[in-house]
Amino acid sequence: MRSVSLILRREMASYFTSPIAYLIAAGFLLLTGVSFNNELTFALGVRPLDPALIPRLLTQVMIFLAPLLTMRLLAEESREGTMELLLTAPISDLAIVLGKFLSAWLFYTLLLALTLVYQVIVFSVSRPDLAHVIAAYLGIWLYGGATLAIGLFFSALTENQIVAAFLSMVVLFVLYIGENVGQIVASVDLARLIFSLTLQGHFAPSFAVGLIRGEDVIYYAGVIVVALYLSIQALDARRLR
Amino acid sequence: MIVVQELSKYYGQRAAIESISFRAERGEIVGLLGVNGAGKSTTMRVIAGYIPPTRGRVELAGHDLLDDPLTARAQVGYLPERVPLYPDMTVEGYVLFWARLRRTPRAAERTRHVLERFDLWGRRRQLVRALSKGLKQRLGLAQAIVHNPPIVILDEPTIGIDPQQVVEVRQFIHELRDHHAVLFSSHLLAEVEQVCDRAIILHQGRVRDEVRLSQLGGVSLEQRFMSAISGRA
Amino acid sequence: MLRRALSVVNLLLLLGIVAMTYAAVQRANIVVDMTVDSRFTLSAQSREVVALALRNGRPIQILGFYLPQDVIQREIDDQYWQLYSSLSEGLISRRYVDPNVEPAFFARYQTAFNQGIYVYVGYLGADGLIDQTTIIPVSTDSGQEEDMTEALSQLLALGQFVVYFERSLETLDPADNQQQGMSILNNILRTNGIVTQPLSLQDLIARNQEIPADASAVVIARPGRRMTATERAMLNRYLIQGGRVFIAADYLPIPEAFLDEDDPFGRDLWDNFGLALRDALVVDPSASGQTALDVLSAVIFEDSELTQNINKLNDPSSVTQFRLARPIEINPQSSVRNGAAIQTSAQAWGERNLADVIQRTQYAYDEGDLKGPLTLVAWAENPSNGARLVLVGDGDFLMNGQVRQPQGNATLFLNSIGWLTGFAQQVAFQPRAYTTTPILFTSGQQLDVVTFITLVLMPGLMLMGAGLAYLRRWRQ
Repeated sequence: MRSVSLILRREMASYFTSPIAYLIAAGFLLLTGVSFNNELTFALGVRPLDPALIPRLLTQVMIFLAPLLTMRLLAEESREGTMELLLTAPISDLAIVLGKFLSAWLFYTLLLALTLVYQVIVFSVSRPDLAHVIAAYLGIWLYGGATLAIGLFFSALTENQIVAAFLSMVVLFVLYIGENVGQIVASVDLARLIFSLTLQGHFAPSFAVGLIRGEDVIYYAGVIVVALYLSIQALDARRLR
Repeated sequence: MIVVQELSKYYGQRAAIESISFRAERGEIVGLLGVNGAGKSTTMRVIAGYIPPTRGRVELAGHDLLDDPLTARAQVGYLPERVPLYPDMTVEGYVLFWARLRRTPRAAERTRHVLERFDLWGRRRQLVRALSKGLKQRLGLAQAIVHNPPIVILDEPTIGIDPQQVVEVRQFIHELRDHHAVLFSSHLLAEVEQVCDRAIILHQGRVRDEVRLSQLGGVSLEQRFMSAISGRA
Repeated sequence: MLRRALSVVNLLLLLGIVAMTYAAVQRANIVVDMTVDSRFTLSAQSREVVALALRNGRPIQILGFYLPQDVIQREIDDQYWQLYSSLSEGLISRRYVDPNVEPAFFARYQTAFNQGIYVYVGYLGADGLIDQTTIIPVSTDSGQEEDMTEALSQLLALGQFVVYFERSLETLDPADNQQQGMSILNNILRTNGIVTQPLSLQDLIARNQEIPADASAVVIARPGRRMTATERAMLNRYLIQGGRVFIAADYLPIPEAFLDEDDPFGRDLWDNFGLALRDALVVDPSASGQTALDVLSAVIFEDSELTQNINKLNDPSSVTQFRLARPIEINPQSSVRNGAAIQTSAQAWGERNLADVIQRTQYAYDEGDLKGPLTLVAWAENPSNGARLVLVGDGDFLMNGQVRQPQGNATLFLNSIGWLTGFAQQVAFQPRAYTTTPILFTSGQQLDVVTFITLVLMPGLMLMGAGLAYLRRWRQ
């Protein structure tokens, strides 16, 4: 696992030497900040702030952010030719995929940590439900991990970053709209089945309201494991080409 | 060091290489010679462990590439035809990364050693993207030997760089002979003649001839090459 | 080829393992309730209600109507409803109906559904369907647990409470849905599972009967005539036996009016409960509606059950409003427990010059008028026999035309019935001690600082980081 940490550290370094990471962080903070201030004006003096405010917002943001964070991870290695060196280095494909995935997840975690400033502000002026906040953040952290794993898979699939980003955005969007799927299907049972397959279906009714359900954790962990497995397969297919 | 037996790689029905066999020992520089598309790169990629062969066997310093891929790959330093670089890393960071990834003992020391060898130590803090083409080529060579592998595979290492650098690279390959088995490819007859101990002539994916350059016996490499590729297999 | 096939098999295997783990964990129902007030864990009171249902033994069904687009709401609600199911070991079952799939079944619930009532509880009939005569709507105005536990309590209390509306004293008609009727309040009692019946003192005397023993309370709503001596004796007998009576009486400019200062019944109330209605009309210039005669609840006694949810903060419609109200005098030396629930402001007075007010709408404070603050609603309880009395110096406030707005009027009546009958005690959900607090800034400046930090400083720092990274790269 030393190689995983090496790849992870190299990726993190490359995030922070390029201006892109900072620009993403700035945009991210602006987006969450506007939402936070907006909610603040409504909640002021009337009710406690929704502890899941930022996590709820991120369920939508991740549809665009996850592809942005992952599109270059494997696609760029292919374009620059470094993939050839990685695949001939004495490390397993799993280590490569895991290192890449963890780097994206860690960067996302850092972005998430930045939004804790809002929680600090809320704590200084009210008594919010801390454990509810923790549940919601845990949920969106896992949710983010799942979206990033999906993004990584598409990055492994193609050399073209734009194509990778577009495809993962499409898939994430489809996985997201479960929330609204009831409006097009007529049967509740079908709606519930689809709902239980979607990313949102394992966040909105549980983590967002302060519940940690075992099945939701398994769902996100399962999506991550399957997407990483598929990424390894895609990487392997690259050797055959 | 390198044992290649009956190696074939098919893309669908088309054979990129077919039944290639040869050996290379430590202290030997073996050149793969052939026109573009002869199968030089494919052969090297298979040996380096990038592409799995359709058939055949590769043994690298006693380790079978298919049975024990990770150990076998650790025996190889590889420079692909297109130099693979991370443009946003520093020169030192780049080499150190590969040294560590290949579990080089005392990686920092080795990194310094090879960077000094290639005259890059002074530029160690520069970003890779800022290097000239020739320097990038040298950096590619540095990563290939930083872990001191018994086997070094260099795919057309002199392509696209200026004549002075070409001389330096050839000089370097010569130096490698003492401690490594070197497999190197070129489509330049003169280069192979000058650098190699042995040349394997590839054409249309097959080994057409194998020439020990010290035993040419009056015939020029060019003549051997032309007769090898014109004859029917 | 073999390799490909193998990886597909592996993928299917992996998916199978994930799906099986998911199903197993889902069945095990591993849930951690992270909310600070344990919102997803049943409180002691809810557990008590479920235990009561288990002793009762009759199967109960929770019936919910959810459209396909409400699947999130259903998931969230079900997190709660399943707590009741599992605690009652299945005695409380759940049934979810999609209105689109069973439109005929849904038709009966359509109107309520459109008004936001989509969950019901009721006993299961022999046919496996919910028994329509026992169905209780589950409100959606508080938390899920509070609403459900209250509805279950009402179901369990079903038929236990009977409220009689006196009808022979020219009182308001609980069946009349016109402006001057009081059908609204009657219906609210019924939907809460309270049985309401008319009652005529006159008929009881003619038939030589007493007020029924099952009466949880008797309501005398704006009587138009004074009780006869026999009627008065009957009501007094009922009270002495621990009866519960609600009286809301107006001042009427007629001789021998109900509870005018000459009414002997007034003397009975003073002697037995220490309360008396005065012949005066309350004028409150500082807490009033359209005119100073529309008296709003200025002071409420918060420790009283009668004033729950009245004069709520930030909710102007939660006040009570009495038109031409009479003040109540309380005898603090009485042998029973008594007190005021609602008072006027200190600036109010009781106008004794009644004719001027009634005929010319003229009023002014002068010698002989009663000084404020004046009591508008009072209660009394005799601990020795259990009798309870709620006295309101206004009868009109119960009429349909008055209880719609402000809502405080209806709240006062329901609170009174709840207290008199003991119904409130039985079904009310003790709210949890919510430990979260709303956001409060001490100054607008503080808010500006927050906006600056979150929208300017933090993104700005990141932009600076981007600039530095760019510069470093460019310098190379």
